[in-house]
Amino acid sequence: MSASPPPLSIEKLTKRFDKQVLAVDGLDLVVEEGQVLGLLGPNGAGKTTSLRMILGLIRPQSGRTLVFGEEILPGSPVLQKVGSLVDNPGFVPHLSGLRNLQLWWEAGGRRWAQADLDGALEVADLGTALGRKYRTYSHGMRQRLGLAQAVLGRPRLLILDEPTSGLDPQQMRHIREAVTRMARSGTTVLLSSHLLSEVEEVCTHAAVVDKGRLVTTGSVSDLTGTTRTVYLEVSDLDLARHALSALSGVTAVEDRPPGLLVTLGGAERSEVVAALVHGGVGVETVQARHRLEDAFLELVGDHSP
Amino acid sequence: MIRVELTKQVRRLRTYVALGIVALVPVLITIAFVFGGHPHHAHGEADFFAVATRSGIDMPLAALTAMEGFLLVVVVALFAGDAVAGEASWGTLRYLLVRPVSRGRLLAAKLSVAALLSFAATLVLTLVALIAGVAAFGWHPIVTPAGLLMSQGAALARLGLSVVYVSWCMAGVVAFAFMLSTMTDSSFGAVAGGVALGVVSEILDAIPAFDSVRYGFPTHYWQAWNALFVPGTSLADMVRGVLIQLAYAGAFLGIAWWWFGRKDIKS
Ligand SMILES: Nc1ncnc2c1ncn2[C@@H]1O[C@H](COP(=O)(O)OP(=O)(O)OP(=O)(O)O)[C@@H](O)[C@H]1O
Ligand SMILES: [Mg+2]
Repeated sequence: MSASPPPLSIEKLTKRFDKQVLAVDGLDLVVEEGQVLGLLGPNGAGKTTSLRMILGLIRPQSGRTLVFGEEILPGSPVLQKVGSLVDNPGFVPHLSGLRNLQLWWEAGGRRWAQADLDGALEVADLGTALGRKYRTYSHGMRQRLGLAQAVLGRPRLLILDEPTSGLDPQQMRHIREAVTRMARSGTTVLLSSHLLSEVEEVCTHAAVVDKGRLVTTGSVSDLTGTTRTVYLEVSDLDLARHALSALSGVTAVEDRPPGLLVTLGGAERSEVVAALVHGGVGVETVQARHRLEDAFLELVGDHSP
Repeated sequence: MIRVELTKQVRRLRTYVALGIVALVPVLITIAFVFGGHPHHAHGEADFFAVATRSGIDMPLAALTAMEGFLLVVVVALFAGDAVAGEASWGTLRYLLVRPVSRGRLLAAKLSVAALLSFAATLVLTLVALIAGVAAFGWHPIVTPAGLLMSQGAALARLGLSVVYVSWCMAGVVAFAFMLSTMTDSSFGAVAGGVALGVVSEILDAIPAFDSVRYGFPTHYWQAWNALFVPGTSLADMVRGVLIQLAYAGAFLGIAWWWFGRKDIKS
């Protein structure tokens, strides 16, 4: 007997919008049962496009997506097991939040009584506003209603595209807690984000994408466990380079104005600092970075955490 | 699914505004006749306007004649053009499609609702005109444009048939606007496209140079139901009108289904 197929498996997914734009470029990814995988990438990395392909909204030029072992085509039966929030929530403006949920549910051909309304309402946390027209909702309320819609069918796989974008910290926490609750109750989650801290906080696994390609992937604890690089700001760059070149446990020193990025190959952070001080260099900032930061910050061109 | 789609439209102010305008215009026409006195024969050819004050039952016929060419076109184009593009602009289209529901089924539900509302528009227009007409000019046998008398029963039966025919005449416009609706995220564009099809076809139909091809225009047989009120005339033009609409609707809807089935949903 083979093990049951993973909730999500993407094989060589490629999408080109027109001649110039290669939005997703041979993406391979597997999300195992129970994982909360963060798809981390800067703007335009191809996150939304990938998630739309996974949901059968956009046809890939090549490659395929398997959800619980079944291939995704528009309207595939297996989509029943998937809940999603793509880009922004979308609701009919002149109907109330509750009626929107009900009509959306029934348009899928299922009886309203079968929906997990209690679970969804807990996520939405809208109280009496649920009876108000959607048009009158704030951004945070809309986002919460969108997440409520996604969990209405007790999905086994939840796909969320930047679920906290544009929210204030309190609303963000609400959404993140809801996602964590879903994950604890056994739902597998794939969520995209361009916030490193969000992925570190919410996700068990991460995949960094850029320009439609996978840069690195692994469990968040692996990716954040080992310090591989140190970012330094020093009083004298030339002197610092010289001091570091003499150190055997350092494999690379790169310019990252206003500082330096030092790749460690065995040396400890304290040794690096000691060597610099010994060489007469004033050390102003020392920031240890783990692999996830390395991979991600390199992409977004941001050198301070 | 049809019920869900209908609920969305029926709870919408815009639907009432559209149907309200369709109901209001016959009332205005009736009032104009009440205060404007007997119409003159401006043209040599008599039409339902010329006889509108003779019986209340003439009024819906005059109203159909007056509104078929433009107002009705706008209203049905509105219902059909907004059907899919409206969902795209709300951002709800993608959520309708991330479920195990085929895109064809969604289109079928959307089209059914657009067709139903379009038929309702024609029906509302006719019923309001009938009520207003009878209230203003009484329940008499009608006088046809040719000057013949026709009993109320016979006239009503023919009126019913005319309503069905006029509604069906909108099929080409409905299908065209619906097709555009699957292609664009702007319902305005799709609605305008539907109206343009009707208007352009009517304009070209009036140009003598198009004599040889005008029989294929979607609007050419729109007034063919008038033959019902001329005893003894052939109804062949009505049959042609029905078939032409069938051809246009079939072609446009075929494209719509094909297009939407393979479309990337980016809205
Ligand atoms: N409809 C479209 N037509 C043409 N190009 C598109 C379209 N949608 C996306 N793209 C391009 O594809 C690339 C990936 O876009 P995508 O929206 O998937 O990125 P993303 O990772 O979701 O970005 P963001 O963080 O800004 O949401 C971008 O270069 C974008 O310009
Ligand atoms: Mg995006």
